[in-house]
Amino acid sequence: MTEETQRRQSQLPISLLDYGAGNVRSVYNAIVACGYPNVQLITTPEQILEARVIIFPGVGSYHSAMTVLKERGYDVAMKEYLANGDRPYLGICLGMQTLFEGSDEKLAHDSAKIEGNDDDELPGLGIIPGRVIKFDATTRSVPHIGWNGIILHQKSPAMKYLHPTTAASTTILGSEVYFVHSYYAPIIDDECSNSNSEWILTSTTYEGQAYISSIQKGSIVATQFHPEKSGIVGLNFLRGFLEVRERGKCRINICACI
Amino acid sequence: MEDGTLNQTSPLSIDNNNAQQTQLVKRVVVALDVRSNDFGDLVVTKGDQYDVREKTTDEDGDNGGSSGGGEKMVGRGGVRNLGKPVQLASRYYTEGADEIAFLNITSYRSGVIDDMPMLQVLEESSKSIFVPLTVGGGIRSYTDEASGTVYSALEVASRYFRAGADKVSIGSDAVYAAEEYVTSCGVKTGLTSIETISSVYGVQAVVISIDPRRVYVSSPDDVLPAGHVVVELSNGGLTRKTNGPLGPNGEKYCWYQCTVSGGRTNRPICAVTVARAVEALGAGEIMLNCIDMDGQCAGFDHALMNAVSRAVSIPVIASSGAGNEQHFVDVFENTKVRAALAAGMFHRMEVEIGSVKRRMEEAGIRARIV
Repeated sequence: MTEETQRRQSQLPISLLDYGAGNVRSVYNAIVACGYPNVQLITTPEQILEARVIIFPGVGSYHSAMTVLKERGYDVAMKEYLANGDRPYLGICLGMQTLFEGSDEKLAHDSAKIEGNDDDELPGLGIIPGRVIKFDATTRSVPHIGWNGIILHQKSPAMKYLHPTTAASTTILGSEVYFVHSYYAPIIDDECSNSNSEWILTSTTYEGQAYISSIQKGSIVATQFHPEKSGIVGLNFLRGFLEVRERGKCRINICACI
Repeated sequence: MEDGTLNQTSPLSIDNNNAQQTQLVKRVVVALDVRSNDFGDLVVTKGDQYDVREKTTDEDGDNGGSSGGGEKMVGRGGVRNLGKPVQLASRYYTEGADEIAFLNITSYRSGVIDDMPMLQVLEESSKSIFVPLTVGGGIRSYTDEASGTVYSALEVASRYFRAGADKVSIGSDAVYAAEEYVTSCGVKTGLTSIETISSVYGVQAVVISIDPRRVYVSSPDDVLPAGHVVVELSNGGLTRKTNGPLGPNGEKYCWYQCTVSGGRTNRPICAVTVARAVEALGAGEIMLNCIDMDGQCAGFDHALMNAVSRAVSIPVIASSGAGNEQHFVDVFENTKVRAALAAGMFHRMEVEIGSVKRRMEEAGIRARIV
């Protein structure tokens, strides 16, 4: 990449969806630390439709996230933005879970065991088949908090700064990334009609429970783990994503012609 | 529409018959006790058994084993200065700390809304530290006496999250909430700080810091009416595997009495009971201290760690007492805790984080190696 291209690229606007529930500052800081200072907060649905790239750090609870998306009209705008899978998107945590059809996370946290009726439930954006469900707490601590590994199901240009290793048909990243969640997206494999396996970028197991730790299809990427909390490894993932969404074959060809 | 190479993925083979497992590693957390010094600056301190002010009658003039690093104020009852919070936290991040916990230990005296320096510490820290940050101290509803404005615990916590905290740690408020929960036989008001914060931010954003002290008893029957959970201690003194030490009169049992206000006040409730109550109310994690072990560099209180981690299904972070690498290995080998925390031994540069993790790996305990 030429210096000019690099400088131009670093000025590209990064649209950040902050709906006010939690620590978005770290995501902002991580984007800046990767060399992209032009971060713009999304405040209207129109800005979603006009964005060059969207990063959605979903923190808090599924219900509060979907409620805000719906109230502000972001859900409709997001579905349109994501419709063809050709516009770059990075969802983090709830930013991944909200892509699925729905979640078992109800309005009140589950220790209360309040069973709301179905009217209380807000569906997700429904881009990815499957429902987000809770970890079984009888044999493991819930929430799943801490550093766990990721197994690669796809090769992705976004991983250009990461160095997974392959042994016996399994490609795994040697460093752990940071997870903090009580709910997970189960893998629905190829035999099922509702399969989501083509979406899986990485999977992880927590005390034997396998689940989707990140997805990618086309330009839609989302992680259950927090790249902004995963040290250098996380920053490298973020940097890779931001860099390859604009760095294309056609540009390289143009540069070669000059 | 982007024209980059992002979408050029290709599938990798996955052996579905021989499913690979990944592993959640054990976490090493570094805590920084932060307060204002006599000049109004924020500094990192480390008090022995919660008595932060220096003892003025020190025979040899030494500050009880500090081996260097940072300035110290000696002998006039001043607060020990162990370096500025942001710089120190950044160093620990670089050295491999899995999480950083800031405890704002002055804030139970002065309201956190006015305590702008702590918010600035978070804002600055989050620019260069990309591992989880927890902040504790003063996470409760607060009335500004000057203006009469009442800030709810949720509003206080929200400020911390916006400033860059990932988790808030609740101490005294959680003990009172647990007492009410128990007294009312499990009625949830929905008004406790645990409930309000976790319902908006998720249970994973709420850590409960429990600060108990041992109360030795000769027999479990001694506390039967009160319902405190009694733990059996072991013979043989404090070896690394046992639940020692025994009581001063050879008592073989103890219960862990919770304290509030930085260990200053005892409450009539035990740590296990508090842990169960706060889990029910919506806590996601427990940071389990022990006043008796704090600053003693004799290891964690395994009996306490086991009693609590077996009583709840949320993760427990062991705290208080670490003095060397082996203490981390011991607590992970002998208890169910998911993480272990240290402060003084790192601040005094007696032990390095990398050294702790290498010892863990040598003992077969997985750690995140940076």
